[in-house]
Amino acid sequence: MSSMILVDLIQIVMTTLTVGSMYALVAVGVSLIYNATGVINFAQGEFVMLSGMTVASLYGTLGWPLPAAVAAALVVVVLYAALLMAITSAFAARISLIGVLIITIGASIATQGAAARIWDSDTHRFPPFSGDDPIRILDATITPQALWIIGVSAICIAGLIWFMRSTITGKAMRACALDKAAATMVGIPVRTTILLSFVLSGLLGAAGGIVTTPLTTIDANGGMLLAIKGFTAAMLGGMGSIPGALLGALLIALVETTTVTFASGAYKELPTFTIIILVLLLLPRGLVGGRHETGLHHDDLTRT
Amino acid sequence: MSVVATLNKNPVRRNTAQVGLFLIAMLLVPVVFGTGYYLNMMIFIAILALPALGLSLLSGLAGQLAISHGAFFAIGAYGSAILSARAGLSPVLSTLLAQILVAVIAAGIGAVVLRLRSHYLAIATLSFAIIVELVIEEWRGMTGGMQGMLGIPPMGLFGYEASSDVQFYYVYWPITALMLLFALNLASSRIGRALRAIREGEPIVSSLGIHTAGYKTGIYVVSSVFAGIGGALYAHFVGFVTPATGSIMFAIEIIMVLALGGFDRLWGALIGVALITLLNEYALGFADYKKIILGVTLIAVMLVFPRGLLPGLIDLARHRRIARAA
Repeated sequence: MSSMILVDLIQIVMTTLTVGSMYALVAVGVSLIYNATGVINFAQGEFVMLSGMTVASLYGTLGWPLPAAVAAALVVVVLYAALLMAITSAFAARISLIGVLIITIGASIATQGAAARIWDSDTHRFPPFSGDDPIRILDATITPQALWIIGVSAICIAGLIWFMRSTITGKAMRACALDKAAATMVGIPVRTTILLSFVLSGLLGAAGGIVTTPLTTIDANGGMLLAIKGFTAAMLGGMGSIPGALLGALLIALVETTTVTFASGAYKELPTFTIIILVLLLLPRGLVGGRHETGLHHDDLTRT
Repeated sequence: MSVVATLNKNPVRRNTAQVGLFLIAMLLVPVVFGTGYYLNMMIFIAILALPALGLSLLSGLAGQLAISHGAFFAIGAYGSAILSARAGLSPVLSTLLAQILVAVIAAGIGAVVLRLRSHYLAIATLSFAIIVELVIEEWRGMTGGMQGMLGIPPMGLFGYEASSDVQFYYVYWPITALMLLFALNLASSRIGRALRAIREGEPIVSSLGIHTAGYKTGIYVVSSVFAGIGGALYAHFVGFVTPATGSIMFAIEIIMVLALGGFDRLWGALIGVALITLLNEYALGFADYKKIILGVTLIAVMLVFPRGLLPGLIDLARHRRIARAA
């Protein structure tokens, strides 16, 4: 009996880590862009979708070698991130934050439509990196791809945290997030830094798309729900905080996994979105305490 | 004093005169142009104008954006559909009762989420919209799940049911005109002024003894009921509802309407709805192209005219005229 519970437990922990890693990549990406621009990027999930679809068609269908397909997907996503940066910050000074949010919503649906034209509306996947044979731990089973997902996500996020803390460029990004005017005065190129934030954020999403597509599949409209999960996680942890985004992503994955295990798969999103409304109310700065947004500036749609 | 001057002094009379003239013009349309397929499109404009007017009240008076209007449209549609098709109530009664449901839910949600501002409010209302969509899809016994509900009785009272497009046209446009008049009068009333003052500086207004939270929840409820009535009218016109009726795409389309017509213009919302309906009808055959066109238009409008296309064009024309005069 106790081994049954243990098996359930292992299964829940592994699923939480797998799903949580995916959400974490999106949530950390959301936080990066939020720090750089103050905007919640609705199109964050499109990074995941574009990379997943590119690798699926180049590696899965056309038979390119995997590294070449991955490189192509990264190039696609970096270009897309740069384009997104251009349209969201071109006239950023004249547009309210909600206005920029609406622009990212527009970018998201335009990308979905374009992806459905370039590929189609079906779900796509490609073979897992290390085969389909499940790994057994006691009676719990894990697909090897889950280990790829957890490993790659951990490396990406650890690398990002190291980059932000220890390199001069990373420190410049953090300085920009704190105070753009002061950062400009000490000679930090603010626009380049913002571009770097978008590109890094895009690369995180791309990494997510490449490792998860073999397991979860992807379709042209699949990005939006991921983006919503991502900023839900980022808010839960505390907007703008990278450890917070990680924590929020794992918590949401845990809630979803336990709901699916013990209740029904149909309502798996219900607790998540109830939690986010509660967190926004009770802990507006999130669990870890991100940057506090008073929301008094630039939030009025009727003025410019 | 001329009639125009008198009307200008009293906003309620001016609004009534404008909406009255507009309604007369709308009612003459079938007389002049006869019946035809275009009436069907005009009825959709009357229906979709309601959620757009509702959101316009919220964004124009409170300066806030909610992504929950698609959800309240769906609650109004499903609520009235269930009450009339399953409980056998008259469509008029079910439409009104469904609005009580909409108002109660909006008051509950509004009291909670309106403490948030800016994109936090947008995300919280989006989360609510996702929950509503999920409940509609999964509560199969009540809502019919993904298949939706068929056989919703057409709008009518005491055995007289609207059966042709012309009849729906003459029932729905007066309702929409009445709602437009209500919205215009609300905007120029003391309540509208208080809300605009809250938008400009909430701490000052609340220090003057105005109950700001109450006003904000109030306008959210009114704004949501507009969407709810739209939903009920929709259900009793097309005769079926599906989860797509109030999806997030629909909520985004309403935001698009305001981006075209202006975020603080009630008449603009009406023009925006007309533009979107025409676009949907003639330019957007395939769903994928529709998404691309909607998305790109949304980006372009927000970049060039952050307050909306129509106000932007009006400003532009005004600048031109001033420049020419100088």
